[in-house]
Amino acid sequence: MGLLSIIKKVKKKEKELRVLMVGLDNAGKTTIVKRINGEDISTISPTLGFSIKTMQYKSFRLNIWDVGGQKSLRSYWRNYFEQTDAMVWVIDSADIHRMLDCRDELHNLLKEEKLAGATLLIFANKQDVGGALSDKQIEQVLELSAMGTRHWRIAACSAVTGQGLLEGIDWTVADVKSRRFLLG
Amino acid sequence: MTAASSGGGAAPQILDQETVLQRLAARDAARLADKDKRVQQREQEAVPAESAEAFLESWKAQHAEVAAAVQAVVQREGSSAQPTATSLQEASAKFKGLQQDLASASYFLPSYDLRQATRALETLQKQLDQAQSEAAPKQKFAFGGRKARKSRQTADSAATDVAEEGSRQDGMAASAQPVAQQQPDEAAQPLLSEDRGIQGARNQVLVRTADQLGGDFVLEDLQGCTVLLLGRLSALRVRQLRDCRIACGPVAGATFVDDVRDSTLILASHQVRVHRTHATALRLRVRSNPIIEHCSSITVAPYLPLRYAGAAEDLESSNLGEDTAALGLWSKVQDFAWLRSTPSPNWAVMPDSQSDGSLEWMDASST
Repeated sequence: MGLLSIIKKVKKKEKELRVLMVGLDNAGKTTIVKRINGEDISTISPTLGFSIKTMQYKSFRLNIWDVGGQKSLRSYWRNYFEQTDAMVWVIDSADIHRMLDCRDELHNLLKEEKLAGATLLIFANKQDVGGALSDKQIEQVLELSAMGTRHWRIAACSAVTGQGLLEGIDWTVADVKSRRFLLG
Repeated sequence: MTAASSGGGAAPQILDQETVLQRLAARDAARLADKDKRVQQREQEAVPAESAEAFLESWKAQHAEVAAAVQAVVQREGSSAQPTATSLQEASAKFKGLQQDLASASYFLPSYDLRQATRALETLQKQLDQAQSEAAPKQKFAFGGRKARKSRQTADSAATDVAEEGSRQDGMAASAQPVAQQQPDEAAQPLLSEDRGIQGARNQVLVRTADQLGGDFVLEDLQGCTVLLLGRLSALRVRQLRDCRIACGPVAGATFVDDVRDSTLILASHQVRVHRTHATALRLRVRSNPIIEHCSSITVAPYLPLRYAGAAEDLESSNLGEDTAALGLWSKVQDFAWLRSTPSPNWAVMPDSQSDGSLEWMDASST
């Protein structure tokens, strides 16, 4: 008992990762999560509230917090910021009209102190849709160059075809891992 | 004083009066000198840096100077449209100096004065910002599609002028393309190409057939229109409709509706998301719960299939056939702006008398 169980607990925690999925409504957050988890994506309802998915990824346990993106839910996002290792911001690349909305919401989020240390992955989703902006264009529109010291990356992807998803998650896990290693 | 009285009392026995008085006088003089010195010292330390009045006076003078400078810049802007970047820069540098002075003096200034001074600074800042934005208006963001095309055109025309340099210029234009920014006046122009959507129509009947559809489609800023989309889509976005009738074939992804009034929407879609919509009828076939947010007076009813060749096949292949209809999700509306257990007052199921039968406008135009 005692010391051994404490050590075991700490070791286990080291292998856990808390990931927060955020973004405007209709960006495809839930679809991405379900796609990664290998579930059916043809009957997804817009997320009312939030859902948590736990999955094993390589040697890590990912706790993915999938939070609804509707305007009426965005003020609740802050309840999920605590102890977030990585934040995944999902964008509907074809929704040109709300791209500025998207930029403002993202920059609001980046000001949050509780998310200051979190790795940021930006999924430029829906690349399979005709008329979608490329990841380079989105990088410009969202003014991502002014990010400062945060670890971030933008990844073009499509939740429907699955293209680009694993690469993005791969990078996120590796980045969090390297950070933990440095601190531990 | 106690020393003097006790000393006075003891004087006749031990010391004569004179020595006592002398001693007292000397001590008094030393005390006074010491006091003077301390006062002097305090003044030396305090006067130039920490006297609130002195500081405020000099600060106000500086403030007036900067305000005058800013004013001058603004007026010059008005008379001649010459760029006055340097004088603006000077003014803003001075302004920063003022700010810093105030900040460093803030710990000894009375709170009232401090408040007054910050207020003065704020108004000055506003003027300065205004002058700056007039001198060099910030470029508004806009997508580069139009401009890119234009720049390529100009490059092309240059290429015809100077034939040998043509290829190089074209290449340069192409490389500059992603960075090209639209001018503000171009931002208002539609950024949709023909096959991506319909924009700004008034009182028209608009029909798009399968070969004109596919991928993403946008309906925007329509009034009094009837729109029939006879084919499959991957996503549909609808915004700013007034008094319109929309019917469309199967949408493989989501239908996103925003800011619609007094309209009828007939949709078959995997997801239906409706925002800021009022007095509108929805006829739905969906594979998930339709949602509404910030809506009122919404009525829902089952989907009415469009009549065009291959309509049934399109629905089946998009997973929106009769199986989906049997799920009956069209009536399981979730209202995101009504997070209580009581039913939302913002939507209702359409009475049978209205939802039976087909709508004439769907047929009349499809033939």
